[in-house]
Amino acid sequence: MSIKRFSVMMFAVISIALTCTAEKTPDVKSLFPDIEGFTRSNDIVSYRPDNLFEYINGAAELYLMYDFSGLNLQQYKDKDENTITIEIYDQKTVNNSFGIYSQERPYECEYLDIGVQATYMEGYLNFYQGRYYVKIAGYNLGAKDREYLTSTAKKVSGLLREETTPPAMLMLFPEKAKVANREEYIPKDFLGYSFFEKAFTAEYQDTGAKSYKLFIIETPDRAALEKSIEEYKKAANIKIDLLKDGIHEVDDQYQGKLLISVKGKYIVGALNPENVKIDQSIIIQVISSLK
Amino acid sequence: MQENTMDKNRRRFLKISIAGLAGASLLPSCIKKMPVDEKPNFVYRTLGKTGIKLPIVSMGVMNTMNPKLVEAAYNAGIKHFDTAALYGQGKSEGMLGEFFKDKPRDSFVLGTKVSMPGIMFGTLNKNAKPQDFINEFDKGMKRIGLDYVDILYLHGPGSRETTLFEPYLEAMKQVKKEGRARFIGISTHQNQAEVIRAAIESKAYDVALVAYNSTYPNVDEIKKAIAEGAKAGLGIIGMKTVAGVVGGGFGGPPKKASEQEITAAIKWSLENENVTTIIPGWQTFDHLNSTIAVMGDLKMTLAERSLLNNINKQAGLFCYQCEKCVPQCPAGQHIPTFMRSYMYAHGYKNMQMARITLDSMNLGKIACEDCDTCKVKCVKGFNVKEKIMDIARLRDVPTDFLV
Repeated sequence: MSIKRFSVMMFAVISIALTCTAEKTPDVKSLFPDIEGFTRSNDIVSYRPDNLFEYINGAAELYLMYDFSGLNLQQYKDKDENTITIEIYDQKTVNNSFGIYSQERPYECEYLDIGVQATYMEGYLNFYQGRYYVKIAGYNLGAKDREYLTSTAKKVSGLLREETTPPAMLMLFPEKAKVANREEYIPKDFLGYSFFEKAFTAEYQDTGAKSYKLFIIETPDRAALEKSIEEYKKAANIKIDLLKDGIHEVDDQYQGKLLISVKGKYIVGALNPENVKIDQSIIIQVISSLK
Repeated sequence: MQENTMDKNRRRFLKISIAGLAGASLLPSCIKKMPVDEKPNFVYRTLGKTGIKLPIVSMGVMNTMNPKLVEAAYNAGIKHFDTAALYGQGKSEGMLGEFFKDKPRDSFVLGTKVSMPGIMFGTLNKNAKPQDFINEFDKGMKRIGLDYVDILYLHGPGSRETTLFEPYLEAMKQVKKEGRARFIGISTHQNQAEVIRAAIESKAYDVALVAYNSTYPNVDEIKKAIAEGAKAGLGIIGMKTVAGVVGGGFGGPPKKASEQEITAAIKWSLENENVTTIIPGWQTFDHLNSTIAVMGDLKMTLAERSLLNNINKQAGLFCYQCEKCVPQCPAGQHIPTFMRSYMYAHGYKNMQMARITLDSMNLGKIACEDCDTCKVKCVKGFNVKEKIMDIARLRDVPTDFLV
């Protein structure tokens, strides 16, 4: 591109920008604390959407799905070459930081009150807070692993200066019969359909302790909801009118049986595996709490 | 026109699939002779010296935790599923283990990968022991819950040194000897040719999972190394096959690709018969079905080839981030970062990202200003000094003006 064309483009960019405010991000260096007994072994390394795969290979694709905008990481070493690595992923919104956190949240681990929530397993501590997803890894820390990782995480959490509140949509799931720590957020291709986006899910148990998933999809507006429902009916070959009031049972060729209900711009439903008795009052409770 | 071809392919695929599902008794006698687990509409190739026969389309399970997608792929005839400890921090392994626990063990081929510190960046730990690798492998096996995996990979070596790193290679040989992995391999996204050749040299690895698409500037070298690997009995699996069209794989930011672009990229990778299979990571049933349908018509059309040529040209704007320029610059400037910034500004018109990328270097004076002749020889032939001086001007624009 010639310098002349570049200058014209810059003028256009600046003109547009005069009416907007650029996003301010904190100074990266200020997010990485000192760790007693360890020294920083390199400069802060940064990755962007175009090169994240160089760091985490195929795993990068899931982060990109959650609107990943940048990773800054710092490694620390002690005198015996044992290491602690702090990775701070910027996912732009708390929904996304929770989303990727939920995808990596182990089923068996210790849950801690750091950030909004943290998970700890030997060698790994992850938490989310505001737009950030933070992963701290220890290598060869032995008996002090938990102590080092939790104290480091608390320091990072303080430096982030972000709210420690979960996504608001999670509050819509009733507590009764809900399985702890199984909520997820899927930003696109929910249930394997490209027209279902921005779905929050939670796991519930029926009276026989069998589990099923409840989901809430928030569409931009009623027209978008109707379009999604129309596409779904076509894809899953469903004849009934899902836009009518009430809870509808549908037979989806891929998912099996589903319960679906709509209200305003929301789709509420439950994956309904065989032999599970879903308490429909939970779905009704969700629907009645939606505006 | 292309849409029509895709639709025809899909209809043909669905028609054949329905015939397949109807049962072997309804099939012509010539098809009956095929092994029961082979689909008549699928194309199969053998994975090097492992002898495993696979459909040329497999499933990479890095983008979804939806077991219904895995089920749909399995029911459609996909046999090989690829995961890693790194995907969902082990959740992908757990989900696949749960799905496959009651399936006949010979009805699927499962590959997983173990990530070890320093392997991707070549910062190898001098205190590393084989047991470190085995401990990580054991964690993965616990999540998977099967007695063995079919292919165990060392995740992401990018050099000969990391590919042949003795402690981990020893550990993998041991795991194979114990029967907990039938075969061992490496997966590689960077310096693929060097890594493949190191895998051949090891005489231990059975499989190489290789990032492979037409937009890599050194694609001819990668092809050559793949051919050498195949000749030596290494099973070659392609990955990142559509990364060139969706971005992220050759230095460009992610973008939404059309179905035609994706089909063209898949066909291109499968044109190379040394590539046994590829592992696209579907997120929707539509993508699953359209990728499988490609097996019904592998020949690339002129329009698809032309589409890929255009994408390859566009990719020419992007720095490959090979870092071969870094030691050549007498002032030690990190040229790949300048080139990335340039790509953001000129390729994607994203001035804010361009500026953030520049700022990440904490630059003072640009060293090029004092260099009369640039000695850097870029592998892509970029005029490095010109591009650096061009993009450096962005530092003079107040950040508040950039969106």
